[in-house]
Amino acid sequence: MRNMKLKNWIFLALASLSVISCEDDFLDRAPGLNLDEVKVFTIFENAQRFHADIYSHLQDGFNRLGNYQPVPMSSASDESDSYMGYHGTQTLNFGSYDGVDDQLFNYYSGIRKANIFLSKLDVIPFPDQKARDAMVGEVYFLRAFYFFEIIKRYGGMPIIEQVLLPGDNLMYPRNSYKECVDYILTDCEQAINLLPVSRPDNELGRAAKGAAMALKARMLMYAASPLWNLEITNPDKWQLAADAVKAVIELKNESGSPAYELYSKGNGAKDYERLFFTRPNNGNKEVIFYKHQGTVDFNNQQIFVWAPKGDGFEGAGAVAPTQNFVDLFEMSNGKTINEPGSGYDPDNPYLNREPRFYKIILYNGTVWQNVTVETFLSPDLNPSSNGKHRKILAEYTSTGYYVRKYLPEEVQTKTTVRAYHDWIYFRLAEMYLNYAEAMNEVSGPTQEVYAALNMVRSRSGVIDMPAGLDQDQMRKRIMNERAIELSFEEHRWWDARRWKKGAEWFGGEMNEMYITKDAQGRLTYTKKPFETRVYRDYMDLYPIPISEMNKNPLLQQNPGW
Amino acid sequence: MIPYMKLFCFLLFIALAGLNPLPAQEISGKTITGIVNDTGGKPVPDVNVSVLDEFVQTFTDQEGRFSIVVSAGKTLYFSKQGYTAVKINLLSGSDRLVVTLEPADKEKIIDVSYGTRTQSELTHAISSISAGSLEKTPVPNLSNAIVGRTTGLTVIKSTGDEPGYDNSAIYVRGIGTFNSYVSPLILVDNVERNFAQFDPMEIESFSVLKDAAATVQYGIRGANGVINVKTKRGFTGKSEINFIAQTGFQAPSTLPEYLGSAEYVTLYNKALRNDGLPLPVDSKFDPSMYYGTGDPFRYPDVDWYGDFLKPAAPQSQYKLSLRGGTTAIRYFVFMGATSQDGIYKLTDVNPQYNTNPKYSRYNLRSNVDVDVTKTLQVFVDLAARVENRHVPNSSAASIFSTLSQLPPNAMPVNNRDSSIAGTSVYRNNPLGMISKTGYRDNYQRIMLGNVGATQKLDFLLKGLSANLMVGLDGTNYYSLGRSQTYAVYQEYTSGDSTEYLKYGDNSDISINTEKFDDGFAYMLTTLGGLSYSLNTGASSLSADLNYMQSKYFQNGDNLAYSNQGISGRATYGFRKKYFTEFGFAYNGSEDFRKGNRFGFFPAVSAAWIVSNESFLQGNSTISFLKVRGSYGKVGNGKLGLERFPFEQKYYSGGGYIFGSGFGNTDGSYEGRIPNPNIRWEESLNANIGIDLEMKNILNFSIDFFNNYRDNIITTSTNITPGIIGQLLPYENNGTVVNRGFEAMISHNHQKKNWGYSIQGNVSYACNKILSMQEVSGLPDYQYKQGKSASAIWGLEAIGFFRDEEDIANSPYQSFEAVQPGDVKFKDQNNDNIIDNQDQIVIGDQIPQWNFGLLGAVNYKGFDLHFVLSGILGRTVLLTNNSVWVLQNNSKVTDIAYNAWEKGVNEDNATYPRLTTLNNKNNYNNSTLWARSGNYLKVTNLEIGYSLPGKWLTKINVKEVRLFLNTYNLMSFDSISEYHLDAEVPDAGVSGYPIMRVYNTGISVKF
Repeated sequence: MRNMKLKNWIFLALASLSVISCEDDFLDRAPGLNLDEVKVFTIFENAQRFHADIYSHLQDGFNRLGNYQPVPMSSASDESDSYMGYHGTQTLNFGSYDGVDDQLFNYYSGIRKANIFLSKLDVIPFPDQKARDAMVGEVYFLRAFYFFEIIKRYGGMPIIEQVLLPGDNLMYPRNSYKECVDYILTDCEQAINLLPVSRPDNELGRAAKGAAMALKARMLMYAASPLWNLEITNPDKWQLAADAVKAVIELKNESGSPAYELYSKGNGAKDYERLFFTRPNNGNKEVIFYKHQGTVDFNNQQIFVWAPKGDGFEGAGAVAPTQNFVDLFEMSNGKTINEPGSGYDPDNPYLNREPRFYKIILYNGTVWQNVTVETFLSPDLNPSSNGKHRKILAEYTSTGYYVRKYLPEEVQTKTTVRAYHDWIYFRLAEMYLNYAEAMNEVSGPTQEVYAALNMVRSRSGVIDMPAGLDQDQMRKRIMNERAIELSFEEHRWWDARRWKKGAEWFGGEMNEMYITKDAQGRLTYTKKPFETRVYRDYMDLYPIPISEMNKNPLLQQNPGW
Repeated sequence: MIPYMKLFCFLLFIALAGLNPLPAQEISGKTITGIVNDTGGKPVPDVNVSVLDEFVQTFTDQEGRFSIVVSAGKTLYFSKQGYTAVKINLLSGSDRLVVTLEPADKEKIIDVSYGTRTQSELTHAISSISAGSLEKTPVPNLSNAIVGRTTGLTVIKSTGDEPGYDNSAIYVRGIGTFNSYVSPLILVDNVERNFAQFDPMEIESFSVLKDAAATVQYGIRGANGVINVKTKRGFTGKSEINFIAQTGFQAPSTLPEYLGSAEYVTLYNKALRNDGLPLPVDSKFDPSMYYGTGDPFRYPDVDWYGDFLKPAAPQSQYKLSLRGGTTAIRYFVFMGATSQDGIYKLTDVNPQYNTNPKYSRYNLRSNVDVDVTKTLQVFVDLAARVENRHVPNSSAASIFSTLSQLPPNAMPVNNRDSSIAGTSVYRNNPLGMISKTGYRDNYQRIMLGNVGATQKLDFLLKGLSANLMVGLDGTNYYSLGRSQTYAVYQEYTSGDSTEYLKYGDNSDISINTEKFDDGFAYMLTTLGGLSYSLNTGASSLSADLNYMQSKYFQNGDNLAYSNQGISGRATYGFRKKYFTEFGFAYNGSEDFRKGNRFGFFPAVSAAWIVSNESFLQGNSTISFLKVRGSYGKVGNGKLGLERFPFEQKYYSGGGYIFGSGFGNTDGSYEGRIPNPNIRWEESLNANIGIDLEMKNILNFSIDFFNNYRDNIITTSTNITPGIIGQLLPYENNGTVVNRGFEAMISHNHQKKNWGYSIQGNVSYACNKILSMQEVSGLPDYQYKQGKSASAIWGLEAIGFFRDEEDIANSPYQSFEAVQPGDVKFKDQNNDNIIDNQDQIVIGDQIPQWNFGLLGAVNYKGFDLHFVLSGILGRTVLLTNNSVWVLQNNSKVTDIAYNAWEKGVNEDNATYPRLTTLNNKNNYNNSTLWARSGNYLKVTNLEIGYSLPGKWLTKINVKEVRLFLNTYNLMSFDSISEYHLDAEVPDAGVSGYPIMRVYNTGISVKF
């Protein structure tokens, strides 16, 4: 008996030790939740998922910069101010760019995903050619869009057409700007050829033909602009841009009706306000390409960060339009405020401004969400006569204004109402303005130029552009028109660069409206500088991050940095 | 729960006190009587006298006499701890025996990995903490009790001491890699387990395995050092019952001190002036309103800490152990209950529930050894632990961040109408956070079991035995909670009436209890092997061969963690003078590709016992002298969070929204680029040590080590261009050398009535990155190579800007527009721009030096013990809002009086100008905020008094001791002037404070 027992023990002991060749399955992990590459691309549903994720590198511009209460790019331009360090734009205003708005990795990641998808076309079991064309077209569009975002910031950068691995030669030199433009245009052409003109409701948010055409148009506009044509701009380039823009404007959908129309329900500037909260499937045919997302409520940073601070509003009030920007609004008679006969009253500065002013800016006295905006200060010590939304504490508006555009009035701190709140990359109004700008460069302020501008203005009930402008006057009016119509849409920051107007517009003093209210209730308006910003010509292009410069000796830094 | 526990303990205690283990049974046979003496002829009491292979035993009395009934032909067995057991066969002879017990060979037995070695035979570098000493530290978390007690350990608290959430970070011999995974392997009874929530009374030995010879058995898991904990076991002898009841209180060791409203407002206005912001037109910003006459609702001056924190909170521990056994069965049984309360005030203003934090823990253990046959020994170790943590739904971090942020005049605690006050800026009120956000109960139920057997195989080969053990640990965890929200109200005057603005929403406590984080985990470990030991007098051989596998499962979307490998060791000793050992492990990790998984890790070591050489034998002073050396290879196969870096992974996630609904279209995306050839880090560790005992004078031990870690698991992020667009693969690329020494010296002196002992230890470890992937062409100071892997980087502050001219003449500071009084940084690369390229090493997070001083003094019944612990070579950055005043709307401490002010203190200011804005220049990581993180703490102090033995013998009690002890009594450091704790400077500011404990109790032994 005992010996039996012992033998058993020995057997057990030896058996457990016999696993000397440890390469058995004990350390093979259980099948995991991860997908493998084969399953991702050989099953169409999985490939669709991978494809959907290529879109995820699209960034909206509501909260682009900063680590806490991120704010829009507009606060680095002269459109607005966000004075807290954590908002992220102060660094740019002060002329330090390295690492701020550094999107290289984000967009090269998106490009990598596009390249992976394009390398798997032979493997993916597309159900039909139509589906294949649409999906491939989207990928070309996205790759071009992401690369456009890169060269807009840095100028020519390495063109990456294949899926890179660490063993590959990664020391790419920069491609020239022209090579990059050509590359983007090629991708756009491919996308234009492959994409459908219109998308059914269940494909909302996907790029259509018009998106690729609009990207092509914008690329050509940028390439024709003074930044890349230093001595003199080339009318031929502008003509190319104008043609591309015109093609977007004239694009017809399958039924022969215009693919895009300005959002106009006959309510003037009210339509302008609502177009940002209205979906294509709800009748907004102005939008060409946008970041599709769910509805938002007040607590969403897209709303909360922008919403006015103080009693009744309870936003962060982090985006404060500057007086410099407010001064760009024309009077209702179409004259600029400094023009003779404009009727501008410095003691009543918000009277008789053009209609869009009242939809873009929240100023002292605006009734908004049933609360009167108060950004005045009281000279006496009684806090109850101090403006409720311009408290002395630092975190209220630094300029006396808040932004109204992008804030749906029904979405309030005390309600749970939600609204559509998409970030629009391309809309038809921009195309009209692009067309006006390009044609003015080609042939001066012709009737076509006026017509395009007045299309945009009349939708918002703005009086027509005054007649008889010369080319240079027209150029200035177009710049102004873009500043207003496309305000806060991430245009001015880039427009100023391509026009080489950064130093003029963004450098130097930024003004606020300092409003005081005396005991008799009289308001005094004083424009005064609140900050001096730095802009030097070399800032037209971002510096390539130092870390990237250090890694690759073939990269050449942009001049000035 | 606790009162029941106390009652239960009490009853068990009574029951056990009356229990005499297994009285001699009346069986047929003759009565043998006798006396047991020691070699000096003195009677020995409490000797276990038992009949071999029978459950019959008795004990000698105070005069050494015994009487036992034995049937003929049996063998009597005499044993007592400290003596060599004696067997007497009763085949013939008298009924009256005189037995002489010789003192046991006092060679200490040292726990090594998967086995033991005698002290002289040991060739490893191992340091240890003696069992009883940990019991003197009145903290529930054992990781906080080991500090300062032995060499080779760095123990620094990682958080404050929130009940149940206190914990220390532990490093063995500092760190030797720039990989983020630097933790040692921690084993309890040969199974990977955390020891932190064990009771100290359960612990028999705590060893730190330091060199390659000691850690090589763990191979791929050994490079960060190993901590090897063993629980107590039974013994053959009269049972020992030990009962301890102790109770005390914990109080914050330090808390930041903030200025009152008048001073706050004065300094705030100064900061506004500096910012060029309009001065407040609100009388709240008039300091004179706070001179005692103002309306306290309109002009409050709240001491937030005082209003919401109690000065101290209670804690208590009750424990009972029973230890003993016969020759056939030996047992150790333990039960303990520990509870600790939190320090929040006003936790019961809400009648529905109390939110004061409370930690309670129950530990149970039963370790039983059974000799089933003469050659088969079986052990069954079962332990259970219950950990309950009750917390308010607002985290300690959020509560303390609010307490440390809220200015004294921001608002009253309650408004005039007794509603909870708040403002549009300050929407959190500690009253609401503590009493009106609900609560959470976090439960953990843990079962630990080791079952195993050892079979002697002498019939095959004398000295051979086989063993097998299975360890099964299960954890069940879940949280129950109810939540509530509260609104705050801001008073404002509208004309003659007082109105309130409301922020947030009031809700009732949720009716239903919600369950969160419901899960379980278990770990199954199998360990088996052979061991062999042969002693021929002149030479000795000990050898082990072990197989180990373990799998850790956790429910949910988690993949099991597995380990597998064999290890072995052979120690050869010659003439008790020369010892040599070869050890190895061949083990692997599932994190590497099949075929690339297993590594071979060898180590050789040797020891020379110089004192056994003839020239030192009989030396009157040097009683023991040993020189040791070891060299070997160990590995680290972990890389922090990510697993399976060898394979290409695609993940579900990401995606984008399409269509008219709101749903996300699921995405999938490519994971990090794989590296099929990724392997473990390898460390070549060398160690030389000397152990010296000078009879009745001192014990001394010193070890020098040099660890060379190669193939460090890292990525090439520093050198690979970002155009690749994907996370870079893990690679084995980088080298760190970690060098240092440890020394320990101790001295004991014991006379009849009094005695003392003292032990000092010092550990030094200094690491340097020899190579990592860094770009070429950088200025020297920017390289991480050549610097410590735990270096802190920051700018070098060289003063404050004097005026605009100074700014114009200085390099451009790129963080934010500067003005006079802002911090001026040194332009390290002389490019005339101050940016992150100008960062240098401004300190180290991990101390190079660790010290401990342990002492004990006894005089008659009195005794005193203390532990001092200290560190050197550590830097802390003071970045919390008690130092960064007015940042993020926070209040001010008196540090603000050192702020730069034009024309006032331009030359001797130590703090930049005050600002209400979040200044990115001044609050950069820089030498301005770096302080020495060194400290010397009185970690532990205990005074005890044992009642005279003569009082106790009558009531059958062996020992009664009353004691008073403290933990963290005092700290000597350089940041106490800020009222911060040098160990965790953020404690009490953005997290729970570090606590000081005063504790008193009674210990009774039967």
